[in-house]
Amino acid sequence: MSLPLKLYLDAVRAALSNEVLPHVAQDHARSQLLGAMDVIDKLTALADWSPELTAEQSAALTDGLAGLGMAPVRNDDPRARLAAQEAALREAIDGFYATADHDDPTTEAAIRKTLQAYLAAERSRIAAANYSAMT
Amino acid sequence: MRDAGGIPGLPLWRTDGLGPALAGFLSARDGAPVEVTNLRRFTAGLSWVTVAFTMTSSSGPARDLILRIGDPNGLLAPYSTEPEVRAFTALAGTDAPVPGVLWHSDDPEVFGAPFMIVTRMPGETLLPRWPGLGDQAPYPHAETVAEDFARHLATIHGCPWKGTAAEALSPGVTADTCTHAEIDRWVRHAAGPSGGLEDNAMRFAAGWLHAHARPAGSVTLLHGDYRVGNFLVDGGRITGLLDWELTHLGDPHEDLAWASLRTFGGTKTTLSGLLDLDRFHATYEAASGRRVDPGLIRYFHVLGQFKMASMLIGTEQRLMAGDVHDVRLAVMALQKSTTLLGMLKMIEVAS
Repeated sequence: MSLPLKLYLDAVRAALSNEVLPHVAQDHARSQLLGAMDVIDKLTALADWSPELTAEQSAALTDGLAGLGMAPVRNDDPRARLAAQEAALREAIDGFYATADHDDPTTEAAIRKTLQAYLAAERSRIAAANYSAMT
Repeated sequence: MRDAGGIPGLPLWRTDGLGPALAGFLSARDGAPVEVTNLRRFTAGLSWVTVAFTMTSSSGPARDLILRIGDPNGLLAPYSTEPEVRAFTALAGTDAPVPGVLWHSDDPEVFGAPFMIVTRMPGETLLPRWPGLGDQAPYPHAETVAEDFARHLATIHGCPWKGTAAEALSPGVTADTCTHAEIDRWVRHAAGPSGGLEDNAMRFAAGWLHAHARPAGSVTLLHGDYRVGNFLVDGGRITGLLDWELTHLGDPHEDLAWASLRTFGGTKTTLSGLLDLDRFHATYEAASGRRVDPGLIRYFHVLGQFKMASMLIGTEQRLMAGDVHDVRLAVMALQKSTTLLGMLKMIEVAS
């Protein structure tokens, strides 16, 4: 996840406060809404992405970078290690397409598979949105 | 941003002040007092704000019109009316059903943002039928709508844009450069604080798209967002083509591929679960005289998904800036990994 979880909770809080609350006139519904906003406020200070997600993403990049022949990234802090691995993969991508001879399907596929494994860790935690219900 | 009186920071179009402001603008243009009634804002879109209304003036009969406002907080902001007006001008005289533009301006003085007032076309929007919603009866007008959808696209792609206002939609592009220009446009849209793409999957996809781009067989006028959901249907026929804000010049396969993206409910055999894909392609080929190249469709599926991902990254940037007024933008941002995985799968298929 590239954005702090707090930003999503702030957006929910703002939508409830600015777009919904002014249109809720019924007393009980209004009390429930204000209660929900209060819970969001409290939880926002505590919320963070799952450490298991960071570990899974890091493991995917460890395998992928090794497959691309790159040296392992060493750092005891899981988030710093993941950030360094992401930077190493970025370097590999940029280097691959910067060369005149990027017609190398094997390396191209190895980069793609690394990205797919990395993204799958996040995708497995977030269900598809039901846009139909929102339009 | 222009405020409604006494409501600092709230844009005019989200207040009761819109009706009087619209009546004032129209009265000045019409040279006679104008009454604005039946004001109704459509809530589905995340881009331009769309408001239907009736204009009544002593100078003529009542008219049903549409006001569109380019919300600075919209999905693809900042907006300009120019692309759509240029496309509509180029298509004047063809049978493509596009609205007539009565007034337009990018000056924020009138409504606080770029706006256009256009004629209201009859019909209702047809919405995609998403997989997983269970068995449903076939759409009764699937054949005629698929034929109209293909014929109108052939008309757009056959528009003689050279030497017209539409030439400025994509200045200087050629068959060799048009696809690269479109990739770069969406790279810029998704650029982060560093000035470039900050997501590795997007960097990879941009590199792949540039490396595998082929010169266009011809450079045509493109709608840019041609899909189920962006046209009106009345009596089983398409009566209006909507949402031209992404119109530009490029390879016609770009529109063809966009229409069949799975993101819009497309399947192996349908457009958005409603219209037969083979029939759409066959009618398009017959009407346009162009051949639909399946390899190019696969390539432009990747570019289409890259554009979708770029839009989602744009919503992330709105979250970072704290200027979200519609929580659906946060919903979209949370779909980024799904969208990027879809894009990588499309690269796998197209490689």
